[in-house]
Amino acid sequence: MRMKSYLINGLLCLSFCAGAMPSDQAKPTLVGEPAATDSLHTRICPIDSLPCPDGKTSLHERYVSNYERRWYKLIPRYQKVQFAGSMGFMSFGTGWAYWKDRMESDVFLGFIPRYNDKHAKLTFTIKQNYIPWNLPIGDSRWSFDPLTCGIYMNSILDKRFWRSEPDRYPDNYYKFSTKIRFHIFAGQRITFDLDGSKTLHQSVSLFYEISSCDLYIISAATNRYLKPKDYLSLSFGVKLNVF
Amino acid sequence: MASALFLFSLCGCDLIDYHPYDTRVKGRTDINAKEIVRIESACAGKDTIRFAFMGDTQRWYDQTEDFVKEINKRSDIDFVIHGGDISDFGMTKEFEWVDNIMKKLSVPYVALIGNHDVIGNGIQVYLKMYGDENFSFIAGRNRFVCLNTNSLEFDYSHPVPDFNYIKSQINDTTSAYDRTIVAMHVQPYGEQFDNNVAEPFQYYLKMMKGLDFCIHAHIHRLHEEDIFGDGVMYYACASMKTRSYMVFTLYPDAYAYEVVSY
Repeated sequence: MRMKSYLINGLLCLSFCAGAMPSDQAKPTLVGEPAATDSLHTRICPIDSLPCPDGKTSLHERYVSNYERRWYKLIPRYQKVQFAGSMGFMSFGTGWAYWKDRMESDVFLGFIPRYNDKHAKLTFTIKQNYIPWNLPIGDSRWSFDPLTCGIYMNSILDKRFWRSEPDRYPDNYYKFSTKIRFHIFAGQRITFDLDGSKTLHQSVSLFYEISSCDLYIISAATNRYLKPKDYLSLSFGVKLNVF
Repeated sequence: MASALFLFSLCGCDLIDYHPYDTRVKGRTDINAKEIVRIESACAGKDTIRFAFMGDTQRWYDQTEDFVKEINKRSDIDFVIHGGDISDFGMTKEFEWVDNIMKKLSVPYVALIGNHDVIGNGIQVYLKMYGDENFSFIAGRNRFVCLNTNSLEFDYSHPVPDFNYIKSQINDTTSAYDRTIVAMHVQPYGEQFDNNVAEPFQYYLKMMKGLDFCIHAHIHRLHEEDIFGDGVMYYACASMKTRSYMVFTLYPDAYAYEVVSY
């Protein structure tokens, strides 16, 4: 590690001595500093376009560029609000799209109103979406995802619920977790491209999903009595695409 | 999208589920109190009472549905006692599924609380749907005392079994009855029971007027035992999985029981 940093310092020093520093006009814009063209991408990744006298970017600049690009990927791309779906009354989330936007990973915080319980409860959900197709609708600003599907894991944030049985029980007493639920879902989605210059968001999507959770599926699998309306859950949501 | 709207119009709110443990009860509430009114009025003045005892419906909905059909074929049963473990996971929907089956009984039924009904926040659903965890009622000249005995599910801040409640039943001299039958989900010396107080529990039960025998569920198999060697029998019904139930006939001076398989 130490050797490597000496090496990098040495190389940076060399490039400085060789007069490879960018000129004043091409001075790198710092992250967060307001720039003339104030779009998020140009502010964060200015270094891609930096020319060097010899036509190459310096090692440091490339390092910073990659560094920023990597962190840039960690900025959530969208916000989601989901109603029902056995993960809470309303859940508010954010997430990341990748693999040509065919994959989305979300995290949600949801809440369950009190109803007949002692108090309301918070839930936490991580969700993995697979969206194999995105079909434009003619020349319009609408597009359609004929299938969204995936899995999510929901945790109820309440001390009465346990991930594994408390010590007071004999071993393998209940053989399941009251706290963690696994769900599968499938649904559809429609997206409208907004005029980015006048709106906060790039586009907005509306979706619905049909889902079921592990305990509902186990119950349904062993009984003819249970019908789809008993073990399936319908939910609706909005996705706001930031960029 | 059109199919979503179609589904929604077809099933409406049935498909909207906030959480398996949301405690959002959509069906009947205060069931035990309502059913007890029916039991007490139907049995008033009768010499001989016949009731069916079953329990541990848990995840055996098909078998429970068949049980209801079996009971409805008979005309000699006055009421049904569910010995607890209505649900398997303590989920809100499970309680409603079981009541949707059991409410089709042509006779009234009451349900005790089992250990599976407590986990998560199941007890809150039980309290809303069925009522108090300890309750009693009169059928003819018989008093039924139904107790929460699932001690392992609670800490010391919640008394299980509740001796104050048991004492209130001993001191009740206002009701007219000759015999007491105690129903519970877990029997003394079961792994759920607070076995430190098993003997005091029995001591108190025997102070009840005309204590005849006790019934319990939980062990999922038929069983009979004089647990304390003092002549008070404890009878256990099997779970619904076994497709069987017990029938007790209470005569003025004696009782009889049989096991029915279907």
